[in-house]
Amino acid sequence: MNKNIILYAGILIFGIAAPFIFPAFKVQLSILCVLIVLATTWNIQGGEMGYNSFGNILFYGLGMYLCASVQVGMFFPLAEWTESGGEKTFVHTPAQFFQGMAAGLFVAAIVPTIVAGLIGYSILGLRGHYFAICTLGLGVAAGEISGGIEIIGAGQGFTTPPFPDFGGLEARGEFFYFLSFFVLVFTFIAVRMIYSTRFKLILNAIRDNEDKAEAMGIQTMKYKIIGWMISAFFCGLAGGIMGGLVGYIDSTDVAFDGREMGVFMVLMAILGGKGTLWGPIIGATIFHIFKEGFWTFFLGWQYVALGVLIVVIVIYFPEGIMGWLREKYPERFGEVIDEADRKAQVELK
Amino acid sequence: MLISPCLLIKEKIVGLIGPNGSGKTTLFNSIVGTYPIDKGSIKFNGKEVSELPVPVIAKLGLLRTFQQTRIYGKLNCVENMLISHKGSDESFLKIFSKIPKNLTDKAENLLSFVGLYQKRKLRAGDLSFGQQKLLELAMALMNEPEMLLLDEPTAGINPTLINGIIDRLIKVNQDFGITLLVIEHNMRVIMQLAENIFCLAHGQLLANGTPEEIKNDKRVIDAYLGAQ
Repeated sequence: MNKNIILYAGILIFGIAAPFIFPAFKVQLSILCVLIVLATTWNIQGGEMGYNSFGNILFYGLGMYLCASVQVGMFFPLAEWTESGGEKTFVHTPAQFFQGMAAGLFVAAIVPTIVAGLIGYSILGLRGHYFAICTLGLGVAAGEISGGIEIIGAGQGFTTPPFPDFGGLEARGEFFYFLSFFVLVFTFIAVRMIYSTRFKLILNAIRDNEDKAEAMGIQTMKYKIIGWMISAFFCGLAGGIMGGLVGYIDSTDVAFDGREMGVFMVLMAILGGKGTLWGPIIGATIFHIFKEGFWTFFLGWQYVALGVLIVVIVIYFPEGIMGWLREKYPERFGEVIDEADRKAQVELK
Repeated sequence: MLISPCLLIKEKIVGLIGPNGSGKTTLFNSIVGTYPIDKGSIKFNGKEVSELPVPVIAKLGLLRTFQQTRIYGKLNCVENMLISHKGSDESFLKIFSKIPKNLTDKAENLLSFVGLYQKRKLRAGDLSFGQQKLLELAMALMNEPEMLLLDEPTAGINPTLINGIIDRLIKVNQDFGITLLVIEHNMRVIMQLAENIFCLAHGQLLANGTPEEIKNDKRVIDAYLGAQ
């Protein structure tokens, strides 16, 4: 227990100090926080519940559009804003910007949760691969639909409100870093709490044997929907932050980017280890460093490298890094035979 | 499939036998709501259950185990037990609160009852088939059912362990007061265990009676060994 507290305190201190230690990487660190949030919460329904979804990108993109729309719409006419495109005819005051951001993030978390509930109600009856394929369509459809809605910029894209004019890039970087770090900490605490409850066991039961869970009296449908809604809540939040961070939302390349972000969040969770608390965090960190390294130093080869990474993960680490460790050192994960009680086995007549 | 109405007596052990394909497991599936029934009715404690979904029937206290053992392979034994506990109160507060200590104690007690205590921290999927059967039994007990449908509890288990299971099943019936309906092919086991046996063949009730009567029933012998 004590060791854990030291570990958490260490990470927290590092997290707070990071933007000052690596001032040039503030944006990258913010993105890392967002990625960890995405991987960790994908893991709730993908890892713990066993419902592999490629559709979480829907909630991410939805959160992104909603956050920016609310942030603009609270103070200016949204249609005129998007029509003027990059030209800034309206400027947020700092107060407006932060108020809008707060309200936007709130909406960006709540609406995707509701959407997940509605969609989940209709498609969570599908199992295994059928569910995965069905969700694959969600992101694609959302991208096409949002690309046709004029008020949020349609194919032209949506410029999110620029950071108000104080402190310059430094302040902007710090603001977004601490915002995403705060959301990361909030997510971690929430997920860690969820994992110590009966709810997590129910999710695991659904993953391991859904028929058995039903036969034991668990109304699995209800819990599947709740599990997906929790995932969606954090995905929306992450999307909202990412929108502000990137500064520009395009329907298929930024928001509903199922080809990249939609696959990345699955990959990160699998790389680290599905169904563990730390797996997605480790996976996201390694993945982000790997990806940025290739995107920077071997531009042009990045998709080749990504392909190789996927193949290596699937062949050598199908259970992820944490799963691999567990296989190697089961005792470290508490899988021990109680020697003191071996006699009980002998007495069994 | 047609089954003549049969009255199961409370707090007894009742056997269900019949040749392969005679509809024993199908009957189980129909009782617990997996397969819808075409006609007739299934009553549990005087309540019609034939239209209810599986989890609701299970919550009423009518539980089954599976012939192909079904446990939660990636969870350890204690977690398997905890999840099997019947949540009387399924409100959000309860679902999202920590698991109480006394529940863990209960789970460990039941695990030692089936002789799995020392392996309680292992993943259920790593246990042997026989041990998984025992775990499944313990999980069913954790749920505190009123009636338990056991689908071949001793299939694929070594003879020594079978005796252990028989002892435990009788104990379950006597100490916990749980009615048992047991499908079994092993005649020695079912004759020792059951007070009353039903025999199915071709989806029809062929005979019922005490083990003695069943043993000497010509129709039953014909159904099992093939009538000339």
